[in-house]
Amino acid sequence: MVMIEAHTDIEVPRRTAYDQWTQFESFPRFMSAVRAVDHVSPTVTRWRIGVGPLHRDFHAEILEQHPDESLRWRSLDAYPTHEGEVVFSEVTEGRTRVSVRIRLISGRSGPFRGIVERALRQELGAFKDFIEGIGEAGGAWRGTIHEGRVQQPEATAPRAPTWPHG
Amino acid sequence: MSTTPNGDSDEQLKVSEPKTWAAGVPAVAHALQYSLEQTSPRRTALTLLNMNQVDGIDCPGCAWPDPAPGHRHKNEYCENGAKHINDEATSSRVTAEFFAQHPVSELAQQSDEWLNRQGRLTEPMVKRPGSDHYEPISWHDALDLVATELRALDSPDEAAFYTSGRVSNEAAFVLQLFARAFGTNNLPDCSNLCHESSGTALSETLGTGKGTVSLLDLHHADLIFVVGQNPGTNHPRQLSALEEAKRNGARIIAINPLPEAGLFRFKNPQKPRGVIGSGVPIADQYLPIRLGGDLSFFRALNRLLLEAEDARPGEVLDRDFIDASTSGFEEFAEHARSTDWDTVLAETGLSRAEIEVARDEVMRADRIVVCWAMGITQHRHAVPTIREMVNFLLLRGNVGRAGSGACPVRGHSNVQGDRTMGIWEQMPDHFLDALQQEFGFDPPRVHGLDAVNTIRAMHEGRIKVFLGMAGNFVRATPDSAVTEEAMRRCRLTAHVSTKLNRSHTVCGETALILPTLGRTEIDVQAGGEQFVTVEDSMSEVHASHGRLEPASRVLLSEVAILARLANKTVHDKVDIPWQEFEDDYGTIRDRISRVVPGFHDFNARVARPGGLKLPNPVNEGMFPTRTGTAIFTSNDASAPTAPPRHLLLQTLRSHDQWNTIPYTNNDRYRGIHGSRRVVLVNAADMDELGLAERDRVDLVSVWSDDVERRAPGFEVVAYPTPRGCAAAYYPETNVLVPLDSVADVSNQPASKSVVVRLEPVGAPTAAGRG
Repeated sequence: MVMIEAHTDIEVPRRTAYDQWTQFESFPRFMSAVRAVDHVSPTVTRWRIGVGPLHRDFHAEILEQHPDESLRWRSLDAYPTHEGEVVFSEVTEGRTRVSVRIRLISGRSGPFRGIVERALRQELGAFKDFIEGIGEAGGAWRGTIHEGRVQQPEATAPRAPTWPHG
Repeated sequence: MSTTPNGDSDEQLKVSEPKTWAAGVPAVAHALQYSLEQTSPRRTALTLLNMNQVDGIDCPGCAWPDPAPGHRHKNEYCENGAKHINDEATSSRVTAEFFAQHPVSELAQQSDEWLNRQGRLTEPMVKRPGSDHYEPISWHDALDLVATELRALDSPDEAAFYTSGRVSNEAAFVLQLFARAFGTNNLPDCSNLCHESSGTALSETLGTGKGTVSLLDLHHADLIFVVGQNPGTNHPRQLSALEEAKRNGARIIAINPLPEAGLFRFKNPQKPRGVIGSGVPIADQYLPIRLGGDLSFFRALNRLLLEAEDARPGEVLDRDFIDASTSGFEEFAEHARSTDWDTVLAETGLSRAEIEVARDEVMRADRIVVCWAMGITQHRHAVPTIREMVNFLLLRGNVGRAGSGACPVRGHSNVQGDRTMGIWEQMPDHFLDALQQEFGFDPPRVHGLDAVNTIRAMHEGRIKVFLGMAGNFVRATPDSAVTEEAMRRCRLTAHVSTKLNRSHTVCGETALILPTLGRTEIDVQAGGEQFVTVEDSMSEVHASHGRLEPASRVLLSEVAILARLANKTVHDKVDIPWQEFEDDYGTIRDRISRVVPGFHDFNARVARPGGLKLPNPVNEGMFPTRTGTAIFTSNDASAPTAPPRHLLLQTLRSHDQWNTIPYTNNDRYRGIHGSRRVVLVNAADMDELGLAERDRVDLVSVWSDDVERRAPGFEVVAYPTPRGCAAAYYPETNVLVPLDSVADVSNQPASKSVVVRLEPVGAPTAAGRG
């Protein structure tokens, strides 16, 4: 197991930083290693990451998500398995620290450490540049997830048919 | 007794050992053989390489979802899908000359397989009152005829509009709009026959009428139950998902009265180990349950889990979830604790030790999916059984989380989408309000008739006009003799079809065959080339683009037929741009986007690779039930029983069959070759009944109305099914299912656990396994 940590201070309010982070599909716009992100369900995202001609897909399940505070996920795929957490804390008013911690669990994760660490620092910097440059979040998901289950739905009514389907 | 033909041929029954694995090289060979018998190598290649691809043809074979774009195989189909799609792409044609040669009365004596083999229908045909022949009719006159009959009815409720799951979202939306603009909610559909019990139970307990899982949930589950389901034959691509789950470490428990090949081992023909290796094992535990014992099984399992929680408080049940998101737990728990073991063991035919092994598997699994199909839904007590399966999922919080949930596995490719589009006789007011707001007419609010009640109404003369959109109504429905008599009592029956089937031969006083484009075919309208959309079993809505030249130049699309018929029938009642719908299906999707929840920006979103996924409220933290929570229920129904010297019969499909249409008389996985008129019986029951292998018997069902229902001329085959149970092929055995024998609450025909006796006829033939 390998633990990798990085953080960056961003000159936007905590809510702005958090809200932008929830817009996973927008990550390829500013992160160079993230090729595509799809929201499969409220708690599951599909990621394609890559460098040059190489790429890898994985699914991430969000286990905990608490607005303006933190988000914790795990990779659903067997290899390489990882868990991650991002915490948003207010440094001063209008300034937010975004701290990311990733735990590589697979047995052969040692060689990846350097690559992941560099990529993480680089992508956090890209996130900072993006949200500071834009100044406001391009959307938000304000729901709460606990133990992998949506707790406080944003919508008040179902967004799709609920009548019996035979 | 039914007049249905026996489908006899000169072939002799041969029986071999049932297979213990599914797919592999033989599946590819059989698919190609059948495809090349039907059509040219070029068309075979065109259909197969476009099947289930982005911008390709959605396989009409089943409703199993496709992997995400970028993750699909070049050959993203199964043996049965390949056969089905090339059955539609066949080079054979049914022409006016064919109908001139074959009177309707003669066609009514032909088997389902023979009728299907004649090929694609090519032009509209009419059978006039008193005539025994279909003769050509122009589209204009044919649709005028239907419109005139409809307008002449005393009430719109004297018409019924049936939908099969082949129908696209666009055609289904237009059909329900037309029916409601005409003034009736009589919209029976094939859902009534397959998974109505699932929708009923899930709506009541979870507040959603559909399954809650995606492919990803199956891939990442720790434990998967496959209950009352035969994936090897009926949903072969599910085996790929189960294989992936196993690769990720999942365990699988299969519960089924028959040891179906696909439950044990899968040789994936797309992978080297599936071609030259031994494939992957599927079920870690197989439970040969007695027919209808599933409710008892899940009650027992739930009792065991409650007792495990008593022994280790806080470690077994998901108390946080139960407390926060469910209601009715205490009543349920009290009821579950009273589950009687003697009853459980008698009804399931399993041992307590076997059920405890299943409990241990459950205790080790954090994430569980339960899959089921018609082995569950077609029982009288199907709704309580599914409710109890939901109880099981709720106990350990197995809904609303990745890798968990309820998975009713549906059959026909757009059966789910058609219901989403409003094909239901009981649509809620909010849907009808949206329809009213969009189209400016007041839809009827009185509930209409489902499939069973439509048959009753036709039989009693209350339905006079029957329009069937695809399907083979008389063969898909129960009580064949009653159903056929009901159809024959109609003033007009009209079927929109691609191929000939028995529903064209058992018809009303006037009958119409309205031939239509298949989903494989290029559909060009005034607005250019069109595509249609469908919704799979996991709520993913995507486009299907036809790729083949149409079977005939004069075929109309389903949408065109409906739009023209609607215009002729209700042009003076409502102001709806039917012609615009026919010209450009995008205009229908615009309307759908404003009427059906979840379809906003439909045209734009469905154009993306892979289409769109409809959200499921359960996965968004919502349970839109009467309490606003998931609901535990107490379920008391007991399993069906048979009197002495009788058996419980399940009707089922063979491997070489698609819905009501057999392609051959073979059932390779079960080791049955050359005949479909076989009844599979436990060897000990055969001894007790004084029957020998290959004895010829009539199957006679027993029902409270004392009407004799007989399916004649079946050969007895010893088979490893539990004592007291038997199995025989559908639709030949539909004649045995009384119309009044339905599932409680859902009104779905109970085609499982039919009480039958086996009456010997004639001397035994040569016995032994060949």
